Order: sequence, then C-alpha cells, then structure tokens
Amino acid sequence: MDEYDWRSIDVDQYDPEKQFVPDDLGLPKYTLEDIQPSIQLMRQCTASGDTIQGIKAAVQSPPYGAANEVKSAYLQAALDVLSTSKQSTASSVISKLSQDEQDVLVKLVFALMDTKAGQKVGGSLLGWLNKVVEASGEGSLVRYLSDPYKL
Amino acid sequence: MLLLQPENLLIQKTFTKAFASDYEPVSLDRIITDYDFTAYHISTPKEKTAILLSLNIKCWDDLVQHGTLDLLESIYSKYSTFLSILSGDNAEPGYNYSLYVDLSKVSLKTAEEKSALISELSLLKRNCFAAPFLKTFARYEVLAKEQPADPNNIYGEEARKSSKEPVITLHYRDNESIFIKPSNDRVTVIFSTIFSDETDKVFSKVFLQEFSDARRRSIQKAPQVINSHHEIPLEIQSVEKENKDKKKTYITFVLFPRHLSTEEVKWNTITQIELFRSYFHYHIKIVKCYLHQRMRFRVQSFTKILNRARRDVSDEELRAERKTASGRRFEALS
Amino acid sequence: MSQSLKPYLTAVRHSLNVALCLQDFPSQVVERHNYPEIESKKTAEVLLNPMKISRNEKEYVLIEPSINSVRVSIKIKQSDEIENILVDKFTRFLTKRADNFFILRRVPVDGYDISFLVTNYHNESMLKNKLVDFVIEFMEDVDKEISEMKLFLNARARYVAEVYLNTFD
Repeated sequence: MDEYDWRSIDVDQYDPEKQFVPDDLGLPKYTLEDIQPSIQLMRQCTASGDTIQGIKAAVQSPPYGAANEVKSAYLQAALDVLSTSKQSTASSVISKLSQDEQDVLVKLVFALMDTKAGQKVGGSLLGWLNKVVEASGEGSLVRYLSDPYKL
Repeated sequence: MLLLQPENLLIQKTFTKAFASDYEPVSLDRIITDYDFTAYHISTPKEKTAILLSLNIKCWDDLVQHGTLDLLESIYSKYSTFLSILSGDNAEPGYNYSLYVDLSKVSLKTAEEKSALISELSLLKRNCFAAPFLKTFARYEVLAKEQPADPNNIYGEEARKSSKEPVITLHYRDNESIFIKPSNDRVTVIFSTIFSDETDKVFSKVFLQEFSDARRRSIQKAPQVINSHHEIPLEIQSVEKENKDKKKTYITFVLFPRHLSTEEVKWNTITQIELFRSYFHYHIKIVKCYLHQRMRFRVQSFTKILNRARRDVSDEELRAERKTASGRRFEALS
Repeated sequence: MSQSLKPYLTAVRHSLNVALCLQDFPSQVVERHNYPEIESKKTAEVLLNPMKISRNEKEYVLIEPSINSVRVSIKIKQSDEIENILVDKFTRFLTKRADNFFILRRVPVDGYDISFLVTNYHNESMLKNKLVDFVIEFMEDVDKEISEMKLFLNARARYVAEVYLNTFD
C-alpha cells in the first residue's frame, strides 16, 4: 500500500449519500427478437418506397436502452428508410407526423449521425433534421437534449 | 529574392572595397559562411595591405580527387603577380585552400579586370565544386564520340554500355550527397537530401512534383527532373547501398547535350545545379513563412468576429448608437 | 457555398441555439467552486445528451451541453497529407492564442481538431446569437482558408520550379 498515494484517492465516490442513481425508466429488456417485427415493417416500407409508413414504424417503439447489437440492427433499418427516401417529399412526410413522433425522429437522426454508416449519408440525415426544425421549430432539439430515453 | 546568388556577397563587398582606389588598408579578420558547411576566413595576417582568403569545404577530399586543384590553378594563376595560391599544407591551418592577395602589387588597370577578379574570388566555392562536373562533362564528350547518341532515343533509357561508367560521389553534407554520372547522350546528376522536419518532407513532395511537371508543361529546354522519394535510382545503386529508415529523398537531374554544348552553357549549368539543394530548401522555408503570416492575419480576423459578440461596447460606440424615440441620433457636440 | 455545406451549417446553428441556454451553477461536489460541468463531469444529472452533427465521415461537430457550459468540438475536413499538416498548424496557431479567443479551449477534445468551451460567463458577457454566428463563420472560413492555403502552396511550388528551370537556357 506504501506506493499508493492516499491523497489521490477520491473518497467521495464511495459516499453513499453522493451516488447518482439514474431514474428507473421502466424499460423492458429488448432483444433482437422483440424488434424483429418493426425491422421487418421498415424493410418492407423501404422496398416499396413508402417513406411515411416506414418512419412511423421506426418511431413507434424504438428499443431505448437496449444492448448495442440490438440498437445497431434497429438503427441500420431506420437508416435505410431515411436515406432511401426523397428529400423533396420530406416536408410533407414530417407534416403528417405528430409532435412526439417528430421528437423520436430527431432522436433517431442524432443517433445515426454518431455511426459510421450514418456519416456516409450525412447529407440526407441533415436534411431530415433541418426539415423537422423548419416544420415545428427548435423544440424537438430542446426535448432531445434532456431526454432520458436514449438510443 | 527568388533565385539565390552563386557568389558570396560578403567576399564580393570586401574585395570591391579593397580594390577601390581610395581604399584605406585596415586589418581584417572575418569568418564568413556559405551554403553546405562552407566557411571562409578573410584576414590580414602580416600587413594590412595583404589579404588572405581561406576556404574550408566539407567534401574537400572528394573534390581534390576529381581535379579541383588543377581547375583553381588555371583560374587564379593568371593573377600570379600579386596573388599566391596556398594549397595543401601551405594553406592556413584549419582551412583547405588559401589565396593570398597582395594589394600593394595589384597591377590591374581597368575596372572590368578588377570586377572580373572580384567575381572569381567570390565564386571560389562554385569553382571548387565545378571540377567534378567538368570532368564528367569531358567524359561525356568522349563517350558521345565513341557511340553517338541515337536521335530517336533522346529521352529514353540510357545506353546499356555506359551504365558501367564510374559514378562520382561528393559527400557535401553530413548524410547528403551529390552523384554525377556521364553517359554517351546525357549527364545525370543526383542529389540525396534529408528533411529533418516532417512538414518539410510533405511540402517537398509538392515542390518536387512541380519540378518534374514543369518541364512537361512548358519549359522544354530545362533538364529533366525525376524524383524518387525513397528508392535509390538505378544509376547510383552501385555506390549507394541502402536508404536507412527511408529518410533520404533522391532527386535526379538529367542534363541533355543542349546543357553541355558550349563553355558558357556548361558553366551556367554547373552554377545553377550546385545551388539546387539550397534553393529547394530555402523555398520550402519561405512557403512556411508565408503560410504563417497568412494564419496570423486570419487569426486577427477571427478575433474581430468574436469581438463583435461582446456585450461591453465602449462608451463612444454606445453614444453613437443611442437614438431618440423618433430614430434620430444624438450629434456629439464638439 | 456548396450544396451540402448549407444544411450542415444550418443544423449546427440550430443545435447551438438550443445548447447555449446556460445558467450559473455552483459545483455540488466542492463548496464555493464553480466548474464548467461539462469538463468536470462530476455531477451526472446536469449533463445533457451530446449532439453529433456529421456532414460526412471527415467533417463533424460534437456539441456537449450541460447546465452551465457547452463544449463544441469541430473536426475539420482533411483529405490528404498536406491538408492534415495545414489543419494541424492552423489549429495549433489558434490554440496558442486562446487568450484572445475567450471561448477557445487550449487543447482540443480527443479525435477533434479544435474545441470551444462556452460557459455561462461567456454567455453573460457576449450576445448569444453573435456567438453562434462566430462558430458558424469559423467553420465556414476554416475550410476556405485551408483550401486556399493548399492552392497557394501548389501555385508557389510551380512558380519556384519554373523560375529555377528557366535558368538552364
């Protein structure tokens, strides 16, 4: 113990009073099987070019707080929906989404831009983000900042 | 200053003064440096009217092997009435070669003669380096007579036979060398150089690319420049065995018969090619300097933009901005 | 402005607008101290979700907001060795003068070329919209500057080579 500098030990981190306990969000444990139906739906919509249904499927029940491979499978499917859609139709699609759905869409876009695959199509993701802000202001971004339900 | 001058300015100044008619003899002791670890020493060891010019070159031994002494002798012996050549052991200790000029005996009449001598003195370094080049050029002429160049193959591969010609190597800096090789239709000069700075190395690639492209683009009469960054060129593989850590960059100049035609052209070629390394390194530094200036300017403009965001504007600005309800400004009473 | 740069900058502008809502917040860990929470990261509940805005794989911005400070890190486009060096030199030049750039962080965040740290004090002494303007203008100008410097380097090298080779006449 001699060579350990006791001054550098951060004793506060063991203080039971000072522990940060994240709120219990009451999320189920998502597995790959659980998200299979929505991925299937998104794939179908991508293939048929039905952007609005695809996005609705993507924002319905994202696997918040799930394991990484579950998330990345889900995000990949969502990315396909977003990147294959036409930019010109984005405004009309967004106008058909409810406020909550738009918020989830923003969340998806930010999560996607953090992935390598998403960066490759950065242009179209930025397009979606800007369209949401255009349609309903920066509120969605503000709500994203403090949202505990993370992807 | 875009091109470097081959003569040494300080030597030129010193002797221009010394040969002037109103020169008042003073005792001199100056150490002057030149490119590539060359050092001169100008001094008046005995009388104030006799100036000793000594020279030290890093690769002196290499140069002597290729006939530098004879060349210098032929250049400076015509002034032998007042200029004595001290070489070998007679040279000033610590230096390779000395010229002793006795001003009291100078017998030059016209200003042209004087300036010719001054320029020969200030070009001492170039003259030293010229010998191996001249030797190679002479060898090229012999080879060209033996086996005339194939006019259809001027820019192609060099003839097989001459590839056995010995290569002259000058170790002009610590780890950098000049290689000269004659052939029956060309003379190849190869520089090896090292960049201590990583940035310089990257910049040098841009520069060398432009050097090799320039000929293709517009300047047909220039020598061909080939750059091989780390690979040892074929011509010198017999003398240069390995490129340690891939540090060295090789630059090949191919001098064609047009660069070796007359005496005058030959000397010009030698003068320019000797300066290549210095010129090359010098301009890389200049570019860095310029970029630095540019950044400095850009940083200033960024500061201005950021300052626009500050709330605490000075009183004066505030007064200028203060308006009445109808939008009229207050005029300052002065 | 190129076609894909505009949406990128617009998105960054919106995100900065949202993130730059700062207030004074004394440290909850050390009494009478006031840390930029995003740097100390000791109080997890006042850190907000980071936003990564990517134009492509080589250009992205990371905005890390917290209650009293925002960290903005920028990755500048570097497509070859020369741009690499130029960006490195330029950002180093800037960070050396961080004193003049109140919001500049002296060391960029790992994986980025340059970082800004805006605290609530900066927000008090400066106008928020002008601060956002600054970051946007910075991003725009840096790209321009780097490509101009690169062009200059090439032009200069060409000129130097031509002048030298012209002496062989």
